[in-house]
Amino acid sequence: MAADPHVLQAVVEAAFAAYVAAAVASASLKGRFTASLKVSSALTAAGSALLVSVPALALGSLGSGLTVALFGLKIYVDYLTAVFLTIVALLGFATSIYTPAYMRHYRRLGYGWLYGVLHPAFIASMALVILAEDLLTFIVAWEIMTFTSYLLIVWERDRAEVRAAGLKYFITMHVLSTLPLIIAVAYAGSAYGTYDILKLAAAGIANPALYALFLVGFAAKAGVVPFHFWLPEAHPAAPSNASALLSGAMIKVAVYGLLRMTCFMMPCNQVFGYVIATVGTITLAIGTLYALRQTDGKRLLAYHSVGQMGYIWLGLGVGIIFIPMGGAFRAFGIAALVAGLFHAVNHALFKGSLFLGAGSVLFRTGTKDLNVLGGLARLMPATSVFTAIAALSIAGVPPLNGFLSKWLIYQVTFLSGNAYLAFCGVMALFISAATLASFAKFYTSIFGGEVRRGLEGVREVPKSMLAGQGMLSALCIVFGVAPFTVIPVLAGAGGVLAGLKAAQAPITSNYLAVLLRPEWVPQQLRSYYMPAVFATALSLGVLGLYWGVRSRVRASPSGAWLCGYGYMRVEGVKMVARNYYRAFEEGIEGLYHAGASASVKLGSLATSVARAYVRFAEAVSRVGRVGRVFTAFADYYVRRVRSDYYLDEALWRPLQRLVTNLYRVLRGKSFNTIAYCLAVAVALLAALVIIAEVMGVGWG
Amino acid sequence: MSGAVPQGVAGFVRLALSLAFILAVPPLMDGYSRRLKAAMQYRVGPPLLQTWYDLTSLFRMGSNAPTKALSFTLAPCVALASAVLAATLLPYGQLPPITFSWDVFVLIYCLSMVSVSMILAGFSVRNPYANIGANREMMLVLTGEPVLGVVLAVLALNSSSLSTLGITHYLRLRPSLLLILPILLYVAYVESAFIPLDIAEAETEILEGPLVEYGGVLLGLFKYSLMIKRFALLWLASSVLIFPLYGLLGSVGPALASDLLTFAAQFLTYFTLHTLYTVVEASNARWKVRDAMKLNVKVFVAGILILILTATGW
Repeated sequence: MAADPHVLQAVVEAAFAAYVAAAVASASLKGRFTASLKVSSALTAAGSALLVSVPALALGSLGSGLTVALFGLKIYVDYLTAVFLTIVALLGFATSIYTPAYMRHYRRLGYGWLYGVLHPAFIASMALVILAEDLLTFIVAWEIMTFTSYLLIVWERDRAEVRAAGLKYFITMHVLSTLPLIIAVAYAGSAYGTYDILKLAAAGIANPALYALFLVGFAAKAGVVPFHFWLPEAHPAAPSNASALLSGAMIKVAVYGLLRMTCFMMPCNQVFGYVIATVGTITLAIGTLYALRQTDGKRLLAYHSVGQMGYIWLGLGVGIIFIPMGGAFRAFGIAALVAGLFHAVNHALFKGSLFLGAGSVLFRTGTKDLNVLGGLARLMPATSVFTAIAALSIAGVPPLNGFLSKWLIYQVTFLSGNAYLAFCGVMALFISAATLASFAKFYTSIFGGEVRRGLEGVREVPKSMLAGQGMLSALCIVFGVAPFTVIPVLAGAGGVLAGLKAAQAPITSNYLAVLLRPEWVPQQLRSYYMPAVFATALSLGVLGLYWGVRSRVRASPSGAWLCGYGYMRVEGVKMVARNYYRAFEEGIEGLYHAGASASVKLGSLATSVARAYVRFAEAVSRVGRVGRVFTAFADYYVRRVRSDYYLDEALWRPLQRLVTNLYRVLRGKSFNTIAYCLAVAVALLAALVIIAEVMGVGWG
Repeated sequence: MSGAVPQGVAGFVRLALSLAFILAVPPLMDGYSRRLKAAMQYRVGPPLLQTWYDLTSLFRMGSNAPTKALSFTLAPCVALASAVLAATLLPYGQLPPITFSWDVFVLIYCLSMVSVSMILAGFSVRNPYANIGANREMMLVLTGEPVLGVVLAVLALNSSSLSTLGITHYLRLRPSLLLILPILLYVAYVESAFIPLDIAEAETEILEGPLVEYGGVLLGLFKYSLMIKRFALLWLASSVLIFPLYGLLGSVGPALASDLLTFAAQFLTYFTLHTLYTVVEASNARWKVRDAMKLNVKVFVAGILILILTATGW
C-alpha cells in the first residue's frame, strides 16, 4: 500500500514546527534556566517522536521513494532516508528526555535557554540533511549542522581546552568537509544544470573527482582515519547529551551523505569500495587501539566512535565492491550494506547510551577520570546495568545487537572469497577483542570494586535521565534478539542503493533466524543464527544456575583478601585504569609513537592551513558584497572583545564565505535559485542572531 | 535450514546424549591428565574420578563473597552456561546436536564469554592478585584472537563456509590447509590455558588470579566451565583434523552407524590431542605473559603468510 503523501507531509512539517517552536520557546524563556530547558526538551521530544513515525507512515513507498514538500522545500523519503532518520530521531528523543535534569550540572554557566535553542536546531538540521532532495538544501542544512554542533562543543567556553577543541573542529570541518562538498555540489550543479539528487542520478552523473571530493568531505565529518584527529577532542568537550548526539547521530549523517552521493546519485564503484573498506579497516584498528589506553571516560568513548565507524565503513565498503559486479554478487553486496548499516544503527544506540551513562556519572561525581572512579555499581545500580548492557553490546557479546552486526560483518568479509577482505575481517575480529578489553576497563573502573573514597555520598540520577539512557539500552537488547524488527528496512536501504528489490538480497530474517545465503555457498554449508532461541537458552542457563547458587553465597565478613594490606586505601590495592593493559600498550608503543610524531609534523601544517583559512575568510569578506555587513559586525565585535579574535573569526566568517560562494554559484540562475539564496540568507541570519546572543551571554 | 538433523524424539535423544557427554567427559579427562602427569613423574597420582570428587565437594559448599556486587555471583553462572552452549554447537558424529546455530563465530564468542566473565569478575574485586590475573587473561585474549581469526579465515576461504558443519565436512586438501592445521592446534592449546600458558590463573604464583576470591560452589562453577571450554576447543580441533573422514564415513550404511563411526574418530583424535597436550604441559614451566604475547604475534604473522598462500589458490 502506497503511503499518503499528505499525511507524511503534515507529520514532517509538524515535526519541524515542533523543533522551531522548541527553539523559540526556549529563547523566550531566556531568564529561566529550568523552565526554558523543560519546555524546549518536551517540544523536541515531540518533534523527534513524530520523525520516528515517518518511516512507518511512508512504509509502502519506501522502496520506490517519495517526494513531498517541507514548507516548500523538496524532501525525499526512501529506505535509506528511513534508516538514518530513525537514528537521528531516536537519539533526539532519548537526549530530549535526558536533558532537563542533566543540564542542572551546567547551571553555573547560566545560559540554559541557549541549549534549548541549539539542541532542537541541531537535531532538525541533521534530519534536514537526511531528508533533502536538493543539494543546496543539503549543503545549507549541513552547514547549520556543523555550526550548531560547534556551538554545542564549545558549550563550556570558559575552559580553554574546550575552546581549542571547538576551534579545531570548526576549522577542520570547513577546510576538509564543507569546502570539498561545496566544490562538489557547485560542480555537479553547473555541469548538469540541476541540484536535484534524483535528476542528477537519472542524468548518470559519475566523475572520479566527485567521488574523491565526496570521500574527503564525508570522511572528515565521519571522523575516519586520517581525518579523525578532531573527534576525540571535540566529542568529549560537549555536554554528554550533546556528545551522545555527536557520536551517535552526527557522524552517521556523514555515512548517509556518503551513501546517498556515491552510491545513489552516482553509481557504486568497485575501486571506491576498496578505498572505503581499506579506510574502514585502518580506522577500526587505529581508533580502537588508541581508545585502549585512554583513561578519560568520554575520551575513551570518542576514540571508540572512530573505531566503530571503521566497522561501518568496512561493511559498506564490501557492499560497494560487490554491487557493481552484478548478479549474485550484487545481492551479496546488499547483505554487506545491511551489515554496515546495521552497525551504524547499533552504534547509535550503544554509544548514545554509553555517553549518557558517562554523563550520569559526571553529573553525580563531577569527574570522568577512570583512575579516580570506582565502586559505583551499588550506588547507581540502574545506570550501572544500562551501561553494562551498552558496554557488552559494543564489545560484541551475544545475544546483544553489537554481536549481530559484527557477526554480519564477519560473514560478508570471511565469505567474500577474497583474501584481502578476509584479512580485513580478521582485523575486525582482533579489534573486537580490543574493544572488549577497553570496555572491561571502562565498566569495571567506574562501577566495579569497592566505593572509592570521596564517592560515598553518590546517589542514583533522576528517573528522567535513567529513562533516556534505559530506552537506548533496551533497544540494544531488542535489536539483538529480534533482528527481524530492523533488518528488512536495512535490506530495503541496500536494495535502494543496489537498484534491486531487497527481497533479492541473500539475507533472511524471520522472527527466529538470521541467515546469509550467498549463492556460491552450497545450501548445507550456510551458517545461520537464531538470536532469540540462543538468548533464551543462555538466559535460562544463567538464571537457572544463579537461582541454584544464590542462597548459598553470603557476604564475607572480612571482605577481599588484601595480602595483609587491608589498611591501605582502595587506590593502593586496586588496579587503576591507567595500569590495566600496560603490557599490551608497550607492545604497540611503535604505533602510538608514530601517531605522536605524525601529529607533531602534521600539526604545524594544520596550523598553517588554519591560519591561511582565516586569512582567506578575511579576504573573501573584504571582496564579497554580502560580506560587508558581516565585516562591519566583526569589526564591531573585535573592537568590543579583543581576546579570542581568531575564535570568532573562525566562528562566523566562514558563514559569510558560504553565502558569498553560494551567491557566486547561483548568480544568473532562475528565480527558484534566487529564492534559495534568500532561504540561505534567512537561515544564516538566524544563525547570526544566535551568535550575537552567545556573545552577549558569554562576555557581555 | 535444520538440514538433516533428526527431529522429534530422535533429536531430543541426540541432544540429551550430547549434553551428558559434554558435562561428564571434561572432568574425567582432567582426572586422566592428572594420572598421566603422575605417571610421568613416577607418582601413583589421584584416582581417575578425583576431579569429579573435587567438583562435587565444591558444589556442596557455600561461597563467601568479598563484595556485594551482583556480578561476582553472576560471572561463574554466565561462564558455565556459555561454555556448555558453545560445546553444543560442535558436531558429535556427523552433526551438531542443536539447530539454533552452527555458526563458528557464535561458537567463538560463546567460548570467549568464559574469559569475559573471568576478566570482569577479576577486575571487579579489590584484590591485586585478581586484578593481575584478569589483566593477563585479557592480554592473552588480545593476542590470541587475531591468531584464531586468521585460522578461521583460511578455513572459511578453503571451505567457502562459516558453519561448524561446513568447515569440518567440506575442507579441500591444499598445502595452505596443511600449514594452518598446526596453527589451529597451537591456538587451541593457547586458549585452553595449558601450562606454559596458564598465565592468567598461575596457581603457584598469583593464587589462580581472577579466581582467588572464589570458593565453594562458585569456584566449582568456574573450574567446571574452564574444563568444558578446554574440551570444546580440543573437540573443535579434532573435528577439523579428521576432515577427510566425514565423506568417507558419511556414506557408510545406516545413518546411526556412520554417526557412531564418525564420533569414534572424533573421540580418538580428541583423546590423542588431550594426551599430547598433557605431555607438553607436564614438561614445561609457566612463561611470562610478555613471552606468550610475543609468540602469539609471531604465529599471527605466519598465519597471515598462510592466508596469502590460500589466496593464491594453494
